[in-house]
Amino acid sequence: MFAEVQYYFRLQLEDNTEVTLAMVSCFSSPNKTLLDVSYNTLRSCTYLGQDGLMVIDVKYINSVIAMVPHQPFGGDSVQRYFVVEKPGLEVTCLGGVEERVPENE
Amino acid sequence: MKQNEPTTNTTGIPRDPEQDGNDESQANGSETPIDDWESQLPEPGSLEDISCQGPQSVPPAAPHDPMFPEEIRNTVQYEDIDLDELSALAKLDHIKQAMEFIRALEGASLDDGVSKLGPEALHRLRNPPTCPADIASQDLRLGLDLFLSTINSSQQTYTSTRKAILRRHPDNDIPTYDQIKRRIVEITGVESIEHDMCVKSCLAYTGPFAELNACLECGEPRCDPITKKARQTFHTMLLGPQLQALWRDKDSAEQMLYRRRVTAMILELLKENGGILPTYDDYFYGSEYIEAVLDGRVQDTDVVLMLSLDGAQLYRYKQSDCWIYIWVIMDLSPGLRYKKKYVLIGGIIPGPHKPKIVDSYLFPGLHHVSALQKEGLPIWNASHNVVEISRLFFALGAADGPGMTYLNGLVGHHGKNGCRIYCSATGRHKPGISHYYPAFYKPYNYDVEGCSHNDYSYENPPSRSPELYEKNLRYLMESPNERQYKKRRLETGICKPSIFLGLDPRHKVAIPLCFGSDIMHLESLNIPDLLIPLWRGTFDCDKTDSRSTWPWAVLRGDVWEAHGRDVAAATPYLPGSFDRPPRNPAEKISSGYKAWEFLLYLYGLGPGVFYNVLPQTYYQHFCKLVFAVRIINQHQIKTEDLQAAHQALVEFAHEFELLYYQRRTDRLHFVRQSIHALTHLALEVIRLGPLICSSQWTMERTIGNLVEEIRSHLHPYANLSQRGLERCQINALKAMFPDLEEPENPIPRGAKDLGNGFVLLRARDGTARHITDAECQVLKCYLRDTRGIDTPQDWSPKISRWARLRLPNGQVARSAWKEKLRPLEKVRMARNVMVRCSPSTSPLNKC
Repeated sequence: MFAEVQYYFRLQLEDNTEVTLAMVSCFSSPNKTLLDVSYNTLRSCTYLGQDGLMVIDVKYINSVIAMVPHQPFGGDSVQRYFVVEKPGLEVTCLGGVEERVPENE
Repeated sequence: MKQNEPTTNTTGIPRDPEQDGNDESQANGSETPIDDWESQLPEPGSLEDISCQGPQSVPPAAPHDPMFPEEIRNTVQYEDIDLDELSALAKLDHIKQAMEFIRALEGASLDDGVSKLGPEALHRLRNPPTCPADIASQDLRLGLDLFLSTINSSQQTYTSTRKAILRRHPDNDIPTYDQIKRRIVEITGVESIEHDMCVKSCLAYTGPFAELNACLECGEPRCDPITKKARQTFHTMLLGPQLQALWRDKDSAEQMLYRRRVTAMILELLKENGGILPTYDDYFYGSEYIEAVLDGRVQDTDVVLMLSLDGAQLYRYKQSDCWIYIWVIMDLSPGLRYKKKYVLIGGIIPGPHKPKIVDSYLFPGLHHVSALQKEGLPIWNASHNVVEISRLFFALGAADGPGMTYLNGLVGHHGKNGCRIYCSATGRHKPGISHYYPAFYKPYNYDVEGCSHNDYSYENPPSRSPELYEKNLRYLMESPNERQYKKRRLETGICKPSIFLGLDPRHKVAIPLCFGSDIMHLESLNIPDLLIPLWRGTFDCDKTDSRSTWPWAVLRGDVWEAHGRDVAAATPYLPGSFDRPPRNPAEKISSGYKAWEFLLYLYGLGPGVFYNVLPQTYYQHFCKLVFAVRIINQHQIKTEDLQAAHQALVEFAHEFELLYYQRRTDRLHFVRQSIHALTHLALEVIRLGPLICSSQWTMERTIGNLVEEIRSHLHPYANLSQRGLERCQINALKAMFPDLEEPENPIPRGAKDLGNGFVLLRARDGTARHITDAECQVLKCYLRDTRGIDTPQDWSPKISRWARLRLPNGQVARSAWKEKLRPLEKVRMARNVMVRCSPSTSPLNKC
């Protein structure tokens, strides 16, 4: 599933455990026609905004992806986004290029 | 990906008319029903794969036999080449010369003077200290800290900082620059050895060349007539002391134990699964390694090595060749071994000219390895507090196409046997032009001597075997004269015996099996260099052909411009963790477009930006490649995915011949070696583990960061050698004293460590706030469905928002809350995430 994170937050449960959650807006599932025509490589979704709002445990987050806007069905159709994963996520990860984390931003 | 598609036409790919007809090619068994490929594939990760000879040569019984170790032993093929016999065959001078290096390597000893180790260094190598290293003196520690922190500035920085400290604390006995450098050698035992070389870089005066006074190639004298000193030298960093350093600290030693742990785990897995691996997660999952372990050639205490060679231009606009080789210590986990801190520089070959006899440069480093393979390297393992004898196992030789010919002694991509992993497919050339192309399908009306063989079949491709290499090598060596040599070189695809034949077969993967594919250059340079010019209609077109008949050549004029803009427009949507985004190809493709840019452009953005741009048939064909590359590039590959990738790659190559080359002699040059190489990739994973583990990305990065560190552009080569040595010494120091280094990527102030590699990062709301009704609603759903907690109707929690989350893979996921405050052009959007498996509530049918 692909989603846009709105924000992260922590919540104390009744038993005093604290969970870390993310408020996210999901994207639709990928368009079937485009999947079929592309050997499953073109995963094109629409953004569901408020309709796709949900809460997830942050530990379900697998990776950061790109959702790149495109208009496969012409300019007047609804805005779509295709998924780009970092090709071989580990290619640079293995080399030790970790993202620098500025103190704050 | 369905197994039983009715015909080939699911993607609109035209069938090859010749294959539909009733002509000889069909009788020849070359019909290639796509639906049959998958069934032709070996069982995932089974013993059949381990023999690596293609399905037809596999003994029928084995795959699910629980007695797998015995079975594997029967298929073990390690190199069995009699070097005496081989030497006796050699007639020609250059072949004899190559043999002399091999024999010198075979007979290597630490005492024979080649490695130039002094008695003290030799003693230390054979009797490593058996206690943790200790920096007793605070002044020495200060000196080391100072040295490390000024490593990227000049010597002057060290000296003046030292002076400044001494002004305030005159009693401190901080070592001078020269002193600290000597102390580092004492502490680590890591030095370089220097050998003379030709001033024009042709050869090094090593091995059989050691006594020469002038270059065999260019005749330049070795020494300056006045000073009597060598006019040029090069440095080799010996592995022994560096390996010992890696074991000297308890934590570092613990890291070196990764291979032992994972090997035991893999053997267990094989036993449990009847010889089948469910995934390929590292080099050690490959059959070459597993065979070597089962065969007893690799012991727990050994060290497993990869050598990687590459040439670079130091300056873009003038000849400034420089060749470097590195060692990668496979014993470390994949998360560590490719990092700057653990990659060891083997040797640096100064330019500006290209080396001609690379064997002579590799010789000192390999000689040392060979000597240690024989004698055994004693290592004090700080983790277990024991001295162990380690043999160096040579697992892999890696290089790009041109560099690889130096290592494997094969002819290179344009030869008749141009396949770099030495499969037995031979190419075809155009009449009168000697460049061969590995087209499986024979052109129409084609009759060229030596090339007119019938179609090969992609479902049952020509095999690959070490015996073939041995047989052909003998045949080449026996060439009685230069004319015969050239003829046999053409026939066999072998130029010369590889220097690696000199390493003991018990301590290496056999030649040529230790030389694998290079996915970096293949995917990110060779393939784009073929497809994009084809699509732009700028690819070479013979007189008898016409670009106007190229239905795929659509990236022209406005289409190309608009496409270029699409690619560039994706930049703000590519997270910073994706590294350098691809620039507008319409503007920049010929100005140093990087391998990484091609990777993101073709295999990341490709399916999106080429949709409705390439004709559908060609688009679908391209997508197969993307599908496969995305799998092959992974560092952990599921066996079923690997099978799917194999099928896609083989189909891609087959269809490339049909869609583009179309059996036309005047288009043979379309079928480059890169197309053929794709068909080997998935099977190479079975042999060598995920190919990202042996790719040239590490080498490229190492060259990049070494060259960046050059401080003297007056003497760049000498300086580079110096930097290479320092890198090795510092790496050894850091391994011995992990606390010399700041912890990597520490958890920043105000962050919250959630465990398992997750860290919440600021910004954070100063005060808790109420959330919207919609948000509250989905939170209540989550609590009820996932946690089983019911909340009161009027429940309205207050929360503090956090902006960022660091993931276990090192990426930082951001959020709309903060990112939306910044203009799009200033953002590399990183708030979109892939969520692992759908949590219980799907957003589409919410409560």
